[in-house]
Amino acid sequence: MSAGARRFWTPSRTALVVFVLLVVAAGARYEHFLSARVAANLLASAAVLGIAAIGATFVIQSGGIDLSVGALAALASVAIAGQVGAGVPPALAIALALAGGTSFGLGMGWWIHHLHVPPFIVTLGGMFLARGLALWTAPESIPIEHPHYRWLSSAGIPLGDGLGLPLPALLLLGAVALAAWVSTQTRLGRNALAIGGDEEAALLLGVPLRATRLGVYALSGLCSALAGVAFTLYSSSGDSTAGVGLELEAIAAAVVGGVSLSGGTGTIPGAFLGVLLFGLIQTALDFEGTLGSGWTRVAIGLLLLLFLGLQRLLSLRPVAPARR
Amino acid sequence: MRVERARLRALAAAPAFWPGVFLAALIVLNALVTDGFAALELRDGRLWGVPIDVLHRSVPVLLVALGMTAVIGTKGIDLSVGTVMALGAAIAALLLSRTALPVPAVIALALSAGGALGAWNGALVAGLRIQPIVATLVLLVSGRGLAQVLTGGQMVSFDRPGFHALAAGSLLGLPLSLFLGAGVLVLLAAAMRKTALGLYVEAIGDNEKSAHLAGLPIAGVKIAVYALSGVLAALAGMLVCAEIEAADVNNCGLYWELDAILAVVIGGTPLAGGRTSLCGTLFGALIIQTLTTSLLMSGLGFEATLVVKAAAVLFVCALRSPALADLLRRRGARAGAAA
Repeated sequence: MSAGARRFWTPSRTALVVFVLLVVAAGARYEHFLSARVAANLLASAAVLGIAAIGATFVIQSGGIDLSVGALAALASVAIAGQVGAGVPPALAIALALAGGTSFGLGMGWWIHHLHVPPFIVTLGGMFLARGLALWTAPESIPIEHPHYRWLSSAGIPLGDGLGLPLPALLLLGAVALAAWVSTQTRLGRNALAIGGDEEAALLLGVPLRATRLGVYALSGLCSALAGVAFTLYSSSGDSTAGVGLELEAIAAAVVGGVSLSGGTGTIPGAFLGVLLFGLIQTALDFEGTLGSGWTRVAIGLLLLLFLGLQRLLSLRPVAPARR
Repeated sequence: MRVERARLRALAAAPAFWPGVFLAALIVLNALVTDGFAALELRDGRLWGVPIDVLHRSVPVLLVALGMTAVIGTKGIDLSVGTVMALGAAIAALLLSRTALPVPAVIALALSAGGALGAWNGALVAGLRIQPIVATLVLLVSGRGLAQVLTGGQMVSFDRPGFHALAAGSLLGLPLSLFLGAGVLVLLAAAMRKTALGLYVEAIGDNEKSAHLAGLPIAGVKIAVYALSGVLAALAGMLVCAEIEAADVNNCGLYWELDAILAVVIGGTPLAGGRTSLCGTLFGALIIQTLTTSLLMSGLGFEATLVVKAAAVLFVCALRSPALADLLRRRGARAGAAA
């Protein structure tokens, strides 16, 4: 392959091409697939995964990993539902949950940075802790009944024909835009990529390791809690069993979107594209109807494999020299 | 005297030492505090009681964790073991319920399926040089889907006493599974300590480049350890499904990869590779099961086990990290300077 082609086919561009091809194929195969309603539903149902994947992307860019995402989202949803049930105004409950998620992430970052325990272990512990606390406080799903919440759940931007872009979808789009800005325009975002690329070199250049580490895990905690908020809006309930396996799906989506787990590469729009691809496959299989959820998982696994292979073949960075 | 002290110091430096002490303390504490924890009785020529139950229940996670120890030793990780368990169980259950194949043949087929899946992981890691965590993520995501497709997402039950004996049978008054677990542990320990395999595994995990320069067959060793992990996961899946005489593809092995990694790490094998402790992994698996059983016996639910597991792994790793001692010393110095 020529150098020019190699330069063009970056992982996220490959993801974009596959996405477009899939949309065209699905549009040709199913009637009504290319409609605003399907697109709005896709965005709304991808909101929880998408927001979680954005947080995971910052951590992965910095060379770390966060396994606590799904459990933390569940804990946030339960905390909101419980507080609203106890009479706390929804806005305050949501704010408290977001603050709680951020501090949880900050705590994990502290543990990783100061005690030199691998991120995999710390966030695994965080996952058990958050899931345990959620199950402990709310063994059963808690419905949220509050006029504000009912209004929020049905709010959205009208698209005509009685259609609307629901609030979770708006949250997702807003989070993507904000995260893309943080990632490219702020010190935190650029430092995260720097320490993920080469920690020692970044340190020598004066990148503050501690602040960056704490920052990315706090950001991931915030995104997890926000994913929990999106879940409560989508389902009007808090559920301690929500988001099981969400952390790995988020990582997989980010990888499909061109975020490498070795750190130092990847973009927020790329990760968003990975999430959209997952949602698209899910939607297409729903249109197919008779196929069970088993096939969705198989398809996503194959997609992941395809992208890993492509990244190996086409990535800008030359593959580690083969043995001679 | 001096020799004995030196030997004691060497013992305390072994990776399995602190996990062993922790396990012993846990057992003593439970024997004192939890009613009926240490009770053993002989009925129908078989021992019954909580200690036997703890040992019996820790066998599947021990099997998975032993394979994981070898993988982690090479600086790898295998996230797919839980789904390989589900696939192994599904294949065994389908063969048992729909064909008349003898039980040993079914077991052999399911084990080889597990081995093939593991070898696939190994090929991705060693051949395509994909990071272990993503390479095995592929199978984690798609494997359970494959098991659901194979079984139509339903429970597959079977009525084959010969297979049920795998989990329920007994030998010399003890559950058969204990001999299975002990046998695998001894065989693996022999392979790791009496042959060059252990040396190869730890050399690759410690520094792959120098292992390569020293002429070690890196790809071969990696494929072998991932295949081993797959075989042991399939075996664990079959044990779980023999216990309930059905394969539950939706739940079998769900999140077991995390428990297995937990057992390995609590047992003193570092995630950074280069060092393995099979004995530590045994202690790690027993610690997890003892904690689970004693918390359930004291009336706290599954959720309390999760919180305690979290605390155990966070603190065990923090205590082992030299950074904690540094941090405390600096705090102490600062307090001293202030005074």
